[in-house]
Amino acid sequence: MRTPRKILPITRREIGSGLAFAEEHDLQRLVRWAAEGWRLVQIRGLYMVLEQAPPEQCVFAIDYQATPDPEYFEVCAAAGWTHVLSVEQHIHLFRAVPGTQSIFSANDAIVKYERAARMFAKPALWSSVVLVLSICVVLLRGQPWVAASVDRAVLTTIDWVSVLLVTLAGTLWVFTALPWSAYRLRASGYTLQWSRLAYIVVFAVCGACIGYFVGARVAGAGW
Amino acid sequence: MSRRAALSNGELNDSQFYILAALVVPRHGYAVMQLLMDVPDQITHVGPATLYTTLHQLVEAGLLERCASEGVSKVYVITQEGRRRLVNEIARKQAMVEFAQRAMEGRTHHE
Repeated sequence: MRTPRKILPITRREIGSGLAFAEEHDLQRLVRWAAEGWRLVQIRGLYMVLEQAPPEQCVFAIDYQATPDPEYFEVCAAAGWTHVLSVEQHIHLFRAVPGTQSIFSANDAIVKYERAARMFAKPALWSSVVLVLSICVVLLRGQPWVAASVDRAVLTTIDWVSVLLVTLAGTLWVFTALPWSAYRLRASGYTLQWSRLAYIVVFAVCGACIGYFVGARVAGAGW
Repeated sequence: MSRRAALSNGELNDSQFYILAALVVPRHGYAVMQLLMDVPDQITHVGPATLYTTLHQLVEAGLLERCASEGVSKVYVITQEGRRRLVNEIARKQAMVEFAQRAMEGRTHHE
């Protein structure tokens, strides 16, 4: 007897806008997709994975809680907020029917950004420290007296290590320090308006800085 | 601002006030949520995410305590200190309301 072929659900991927910068924009997109029959099933890095599902009218909310216990989801469910998914047990997405009362008390919605900023504070600090140190190494390496007094083999090693460090720390910095600053701004009451242009400019400037340092080192080392 | 510092000025915010009042008798977190949702004409809405954080905040500040729980659900109840703060807050709110009512009726303290 032939086993019936397993029908895989139809999925599609969408790139996320970055919750720290464009939470409202992404939540609006989720509402639209749900109405069109696409349900969010996973957030994988920068991507959101959507699965085809019956169209539904719903609203979404995001909360930040570091590894909450099951009671958290129970309480939210009691108020009509169904847990959709969590990202690394820290960022939680909920769904509810339109008209459900907010997941936060009045005047309390921005307190969640303080929690979010706290979650990003340590990684942001460490990536900033490593980035500043590695930029210092790169700047020092550029001094003529360093080139004159240090062995060539050591210099080559320094070049490799600094290129690697600037790239790594720079990338980490973009994904930790920038969200941290965005959450701090939100916690102070600023509303960040989603702007594709501002987003591209910030990331392009950061990318260009990292590229400049790496490029300068590579060119300086004669590779 | 630390959680403790948020409570140290003596006043309870609306969410803390409602939650302490709901826990004069022992209840699960979700039972508190259901109770608060059933309050008619509730001016201040207590959201579930706020409820969860506030429960932890009040336990940390010693105004609530966890008692014997069934399974994963924790049961909370007000402590003596919590009761004292709640009574003070009720008195403060009553005084505020009385003052406003007298003012609305055109009377003041000195009349």
